[in-house]
Amino acid sequence: MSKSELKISIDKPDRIYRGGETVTGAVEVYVNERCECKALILKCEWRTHGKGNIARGEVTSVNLFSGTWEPGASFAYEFSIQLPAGPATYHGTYLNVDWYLKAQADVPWAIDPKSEADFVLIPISARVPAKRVSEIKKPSGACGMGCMLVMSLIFGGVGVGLLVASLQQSGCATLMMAGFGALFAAAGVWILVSSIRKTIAEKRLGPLHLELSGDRARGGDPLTATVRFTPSADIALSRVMATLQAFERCVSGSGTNTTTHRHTFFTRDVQLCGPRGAAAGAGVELRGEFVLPADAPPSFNASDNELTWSVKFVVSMEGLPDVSRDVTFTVAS
Amino acid sequence: MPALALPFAHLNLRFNPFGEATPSDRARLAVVDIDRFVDRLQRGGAVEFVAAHGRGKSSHLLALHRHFPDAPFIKLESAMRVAPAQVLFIDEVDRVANRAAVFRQVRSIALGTHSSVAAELRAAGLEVESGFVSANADRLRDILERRIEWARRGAGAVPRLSESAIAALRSRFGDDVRAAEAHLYDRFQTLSEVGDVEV
Repeated sequence: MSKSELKISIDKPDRIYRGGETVTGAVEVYVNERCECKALILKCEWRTHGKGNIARGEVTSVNLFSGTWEPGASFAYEFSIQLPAGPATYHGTYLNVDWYLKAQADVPWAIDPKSEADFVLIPISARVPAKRVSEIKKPSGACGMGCMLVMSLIFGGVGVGLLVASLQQSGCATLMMAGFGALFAAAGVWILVSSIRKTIAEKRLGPLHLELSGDRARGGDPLTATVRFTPSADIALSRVMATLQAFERCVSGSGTNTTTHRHTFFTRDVQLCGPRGAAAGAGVELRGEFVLPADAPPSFNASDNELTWSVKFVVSMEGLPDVSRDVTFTVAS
Repeated sequence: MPALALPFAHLNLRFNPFGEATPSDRARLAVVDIDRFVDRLQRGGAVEFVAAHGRGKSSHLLALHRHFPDAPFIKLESAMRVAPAQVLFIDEVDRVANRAAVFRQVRSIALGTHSSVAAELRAAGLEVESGFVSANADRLRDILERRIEWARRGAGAVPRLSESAIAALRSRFGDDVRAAEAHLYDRFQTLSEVGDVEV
């Protein structure tokens, strides 16, 4: 039976490359009988592995050889592939991003032999100019309030319906229906009260102007987070916090088997202010400084797999629910 | 955030064996005995794989589909209508709105379902082979060991699941293969060296 085998050799023993460098090596071929090869294709691609559905991106594809292989001889086809800047190799909890060279020979009337070798791509250290990120987060509109109102009406309606229906039953059924009715009605009231309180908090605070000093940061960079708002009524602030955070988010399966896995692997809190008052119509500007960890992994976003960096602002007011907003930014490769 | 190296090289693996696999890898990795089902579909008729979530219905269907690569494979994400075909594969058939009509119009059909639809298939004039998917200790060990071999980096030792580890998984997760794999994913993330895996 004819047999052909491929093996990829990468020149650098540790197989660690920086973005933009060139990976070199050879595809070695062994055959035990004469063998036609339509094409010996070498592909360079990144691929995710871990908890999420697999995402991949092909960067390069080259044909190293077409022709006939004779038995008894060894064949080696050298390659030289310049690597892109990213995505950089990342090994996390649920998300991993890795780089691969894949060789496959197109052999007629036989199972195509193939081989794969992985390598590490580390980020380029060059700096890139960063722009300020500025976002205005308006209070939840009528739509948000409307949705909550509809939900509270549904829960309340079902609850009242069950309570009324329980009056027409007897024995255990009465108690069960009345119990469930009371639960649903209470849930409806709770949703309504919560949404009203949240709306009041957002209206009093007014639009939040959130700003980060850079939209593209790198490990070790300083990052200034600023929040500005002008209350529409006098408020008593308990505190305002900014949290620098990074998380992996992966989606596995599809349909009814879809599961989202989220793992926050970095958080750092900065208090922008403690208890203080803020008068109606008087602008408030609060600022906090972060330093990104030196080994901060770059942001990554592919189908069903992402690594996201963000700053979460939380404004706490006395007697009202917290108002929170996120601003995402990119940690560059 | 540790220094970068080749992934899982310390375990002589290329990746965590219990992470998500592509449908084609799942088909290759499936530990199934499907000869009689292949035969049934070739002669015309219906095959149903019945089980709760996580027991291997989809893996059985994917493995069977390798024998009929041209047949449509439909994975339903919500209640929907399906167009009939000569040979049809449907995962989550419980969600097909017009399934009685579909059953009447196919020559062969393979299904994944939470509860048997054999009576409906027979009413549509199809002969039915039912497979009730479950994993005993031997099959569970085969499934998990095949996963570890799939992730192997090179010759030599790789992490090993002992008989007591398999028994512990069976005791904790029953025949829910997906739950056992999810647990092992977390264990393999923290393994520091090749050896027996404690579960």
